Amino acid sequence: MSSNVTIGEEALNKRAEERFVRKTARISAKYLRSVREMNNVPEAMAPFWNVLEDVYVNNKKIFEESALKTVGTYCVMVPEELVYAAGGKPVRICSGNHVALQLGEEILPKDACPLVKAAAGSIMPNSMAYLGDCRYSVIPVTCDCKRKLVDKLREFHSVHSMRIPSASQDDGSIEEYVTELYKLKDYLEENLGEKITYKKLYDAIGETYATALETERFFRLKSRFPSVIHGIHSIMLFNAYTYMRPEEWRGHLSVLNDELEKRIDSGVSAARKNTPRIMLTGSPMIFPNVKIPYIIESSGGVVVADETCIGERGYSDVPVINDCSMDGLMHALAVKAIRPCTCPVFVDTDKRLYRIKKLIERNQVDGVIYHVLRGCLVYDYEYQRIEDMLESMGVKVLRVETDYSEEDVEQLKIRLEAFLEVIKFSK
Amino acid sequence: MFNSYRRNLIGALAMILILVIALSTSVICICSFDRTISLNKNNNGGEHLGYTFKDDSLTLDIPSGADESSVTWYYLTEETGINEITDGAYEGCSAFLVVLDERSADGMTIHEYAKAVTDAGSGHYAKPNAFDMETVPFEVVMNAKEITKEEDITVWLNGEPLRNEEVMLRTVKGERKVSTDKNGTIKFSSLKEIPGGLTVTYSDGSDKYIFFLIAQHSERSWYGFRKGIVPVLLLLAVSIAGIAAVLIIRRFLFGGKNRYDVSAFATRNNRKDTFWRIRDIVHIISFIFIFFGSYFFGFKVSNSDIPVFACGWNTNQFIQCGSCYYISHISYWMSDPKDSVEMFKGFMDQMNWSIKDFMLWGTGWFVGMLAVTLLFGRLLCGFICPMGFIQDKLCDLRQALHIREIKISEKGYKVLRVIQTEMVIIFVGLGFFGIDYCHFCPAAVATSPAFAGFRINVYTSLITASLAVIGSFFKDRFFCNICPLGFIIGLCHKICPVKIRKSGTACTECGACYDACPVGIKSIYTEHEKEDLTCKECLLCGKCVNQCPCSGALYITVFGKKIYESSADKFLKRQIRKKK
Repeated sequence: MSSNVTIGEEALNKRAEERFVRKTARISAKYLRSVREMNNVPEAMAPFWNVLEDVYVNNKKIFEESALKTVGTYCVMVPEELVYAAGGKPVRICSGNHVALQLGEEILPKDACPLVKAAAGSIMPNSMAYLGDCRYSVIPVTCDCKRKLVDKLREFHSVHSMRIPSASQDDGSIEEYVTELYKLKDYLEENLGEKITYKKLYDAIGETYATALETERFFRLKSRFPSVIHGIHSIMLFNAYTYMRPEEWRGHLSVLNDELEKRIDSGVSAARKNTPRIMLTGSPMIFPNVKIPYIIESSGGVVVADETCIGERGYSDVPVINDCSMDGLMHALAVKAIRPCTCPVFVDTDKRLYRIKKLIERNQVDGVIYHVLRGCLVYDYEYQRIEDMLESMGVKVLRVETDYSEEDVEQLKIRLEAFLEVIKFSK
Repeated sequence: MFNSYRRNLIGALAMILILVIALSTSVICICSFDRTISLNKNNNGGEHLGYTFKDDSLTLDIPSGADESSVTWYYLTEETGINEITDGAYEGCSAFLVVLDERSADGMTIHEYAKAVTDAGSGHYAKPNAFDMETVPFEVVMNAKEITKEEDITVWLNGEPLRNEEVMLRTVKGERKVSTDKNGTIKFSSLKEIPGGLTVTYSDGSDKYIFFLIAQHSERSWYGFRKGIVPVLLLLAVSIAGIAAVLIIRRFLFGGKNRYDVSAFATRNNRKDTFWRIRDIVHIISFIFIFFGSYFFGFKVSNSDIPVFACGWNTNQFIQCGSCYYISHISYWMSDPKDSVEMFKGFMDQMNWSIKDFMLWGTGWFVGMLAVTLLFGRLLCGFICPMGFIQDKLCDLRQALHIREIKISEKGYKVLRVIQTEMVIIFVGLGFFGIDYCHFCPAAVATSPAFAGFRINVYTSLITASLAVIGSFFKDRFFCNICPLGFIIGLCHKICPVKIRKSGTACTECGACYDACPVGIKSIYTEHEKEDLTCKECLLCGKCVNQCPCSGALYITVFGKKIYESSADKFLKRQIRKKK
């Protein structure tokens, strides 16, 4: 009798899994197909799409457990270098998957933000295959939703939580975070079974530098006027980062950069000169939740910058080693995670204002879309000050509150099209 | 190619080597024998009259067949001329002479003399014949001259140079026959021949003169060198012990072996770019120049022949000294100029200056110093100061050993500012109470001999110096945070045309500059609106620009022209190891 139950459960699980995969694949495939059909698509984008296709459409395991131990990370504030130094592969568990969100809703409260729900849903058994082998995750407690998420996820696997200081400019915060990083180091060493030495960590940071050099080049190309690449392509490219090894991703990006340079020489561009240049800021937009950039780009705008933690924020900063000791490296990692981070969980907003200003100046932005995920309070708090600043700068801004569902696409389209029209008109 | 830890290590060792070389090449005043020691008479059964110099004292050797009663002692002073020593008192003498009673042998009258010149380096050279011609008809005189590799002596007989005659010369190298030239001089190719003393023997048929001469000023005995090097070695020993103690205490207090991993030796040199190289080269050149500078200009500074260009405390080097001396001795400015020039008399004598000349030069030098300070500001701290160089090298050494630095918090920097203010008060004010700041100047021992370290009391200044060295080992440019001279120079930062500037919108506030800043200027990363960030603490060392990973965020300007700008590309390329 007991065996019958097991079979029944298995069948049930299998069916649930199939349903999950089917639904996820449908949305993901739709966006992947659409972006591939856009005009002037660089050929070098293919590897990034392929990996996203493998993860979301084909639901493949991308990392073999025997080769790499995956460690789920839920924020750019978790230093990837430590995970690499411990012989693991950090994979972001932040998710934009609406189907995973529905799964997560079963265990999380209704008012929790979509990002948290989707992350929980992705980690649950029988959902995303790329996280199937993931037995460890690291979650910095940046907000209340994530705080309790730690406890919820412990039902499925081992979770290490990290405390995030509230003031980023305080010297004490850095010291505090260094202590947290040492705890993380101990956790990783214990679980992944490899000791993090000075040399390994230094080499991992070296990888970051090599990647940053390539992304820096990409940002320079991307900020050109008129745009040479669609913003949604750039967003997907950064989304693909976490599913690849850094050297592999860097190689593909380098090819893409070369191609973009050739396109600049031959005068090919992705947008016309009068195309409104839009910057995205606010809550992260994670594949397959790319409806906003997709709507913008399909309605005659171009996304030239995104100041979200899945986009440029996570790649523009590097750890700067000032003291060649283990503690110096840890300090550099902590400083990189805390000080330049424009995440609204910190009490000060000024830094984010200046960052937005910087990106607007660098990318000649005409309008800003302020994306707020329903339930994400900290981003909503900052909106007022950012709106005031943008107004004084003469840059139009639109606040868009949404979640992962595809139901409000039409409504969004009307608002965004109107916004783009206003910009075009005033240009 | 060296990897960077080796390079850093070699840099630090080279610095110590320069210190040692500087000491060994200098003809150091400290090997002078004490003027108040008693002369020992030692009947050692030798053949000739002579002195031996050992461990800071002179011993007179009397030949066999003679005894104490057969020698007569004279001493020479600047004021009173020749005096016979009768009661053992010989204050203020510059030379001793011993005359042995005449005796006859081989049908000749033998005159035997032994002379010891005690302050040949002091500037007052006695004119030949220094001693009474009646008593001492034959005399060998050491000639004073600029510092050269050659040295010569002149032989005098009855008030005339002994021209073109053959004499027997005995030195440490042995006995040989030499002839005097038309001026009566004998040249030595090497200074090393003189220290042990030399004997000139001349006979004109009826009289035989034997003259022994020992002159202190070219003495380079191991003893003298040891005395010069002792403060440096002591400082080194105390500092190493202190650093070890700090490491042990730190490990004991904070435990956590993870945090203080000293085992790994692999790093990349992430600093070197054009600006950094130029800075390094300027620093090295200035370091060597300050140590050996007076060699290049041929000054032979009396009393002590240290070839350095720095500290005024070496009073005879007044004209070449650093500005710190003037400021810490403000009280001299207000006293009678005649009193204040008294201490520089030796130098003035040597340069043949009147008090007026001296005042003119002194004022000129001071005005020049002021102009340089106004023009360069704390660029002097970042590029020129030898103490700064030593601190930079100590920091490199720590990096090479992968020892964790001691981070100073914002509060810590505030405490250091208070200490600095107190140092300024001490620095400027102590002169009025008759106390010399130089007695415990940490830079003096640490950069010995550039700051005339060995002339000061090792026991007081060694403590401050070792604290400065230990501090600088664990914290980049620790002493600069409390340096009183730096504070005073910093007051001119508004006039100085070299500025550190920031473009607020290019900055991401990562604070790498703040971490790199040796003096903890926090506004460098928190400030967004203001462009000019030069403040009185800023050393203009360029470390912040060097470590800035944002293109165009920080830059240094001279007269408004950009000379050095941060660049993401350059920063990242420096970090990435080139694959073989």
